[in-house]
Amino acid sequence: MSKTKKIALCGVLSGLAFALSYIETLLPSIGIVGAKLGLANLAIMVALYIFSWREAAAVSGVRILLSWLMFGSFTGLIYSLAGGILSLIIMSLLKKLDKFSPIGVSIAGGVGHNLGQILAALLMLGTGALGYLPILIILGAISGAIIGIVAALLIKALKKAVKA
Amino acid sequence: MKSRLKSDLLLFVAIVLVAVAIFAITTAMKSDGKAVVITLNGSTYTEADLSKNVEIDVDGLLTVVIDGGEVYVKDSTCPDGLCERSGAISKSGESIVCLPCGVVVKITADEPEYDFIN
Repeated sequence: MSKTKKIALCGVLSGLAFALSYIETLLPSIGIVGAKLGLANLAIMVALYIFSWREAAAVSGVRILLSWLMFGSFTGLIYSLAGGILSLIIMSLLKKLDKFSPIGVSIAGGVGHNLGQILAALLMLGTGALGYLPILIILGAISGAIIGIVAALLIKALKKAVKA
Repeated sequence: MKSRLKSDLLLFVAIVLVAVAIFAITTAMKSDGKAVVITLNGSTYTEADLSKNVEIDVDGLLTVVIDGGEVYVKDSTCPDGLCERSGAISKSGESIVCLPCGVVVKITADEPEYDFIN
């Protein structure tokens, strides 16, 4: 793939990730701190599978920065960064292991995202947030599975299209 | 592909089991709470006795209400209002977190170190 095409695709994916983050703020919250569907992870999964972890990190970083500038607070930025970084590290490692399909990678990513946020809360607020750990782990796995199923289909279709 | 889906499923089950185990352990350790500790951005803002009914204004951000051995948050200035929707807590180890305000309301089994009133 030419460099230009790669840059263009990364731009599209970053834009998508940002738009998906925005759409997610419109969805009703289920009433638990930190519980989200993680729609933006779709674009990051696609970047991870079509390119590599570097492009995925770039897409994730651009998304986090843009969402922070558009509708975030500084505290929000720290939580997104903690979730985004841990999730990406875990997903890249699991993908490299080559034992799981994109669904498993996304499940681990969803859980990693929530673990990262809990870690940030531990550092910033003390141990109070630990009570949310079990429910956030389970919700991360469920939302990760949903996102993973969609991402697996997307990756399959896009891999063909991108090669052409 | 099949074997990968199988490992996906195993991963999912393992994660859920770990979460359930953490939940079971923390629930088993719960007892009736005695004191309420309110922290603001990681440092203790105040402590209060769970058995005394009182309303505590936390730095103008939100109000913590202790009523009949239960604690809940009202009048929060945060945009999402999740802390108010968390409802009331009463057992030690339980907490209400308001990320936008940086406030954690936690119940402990220890006797309160000092009264909010004092």
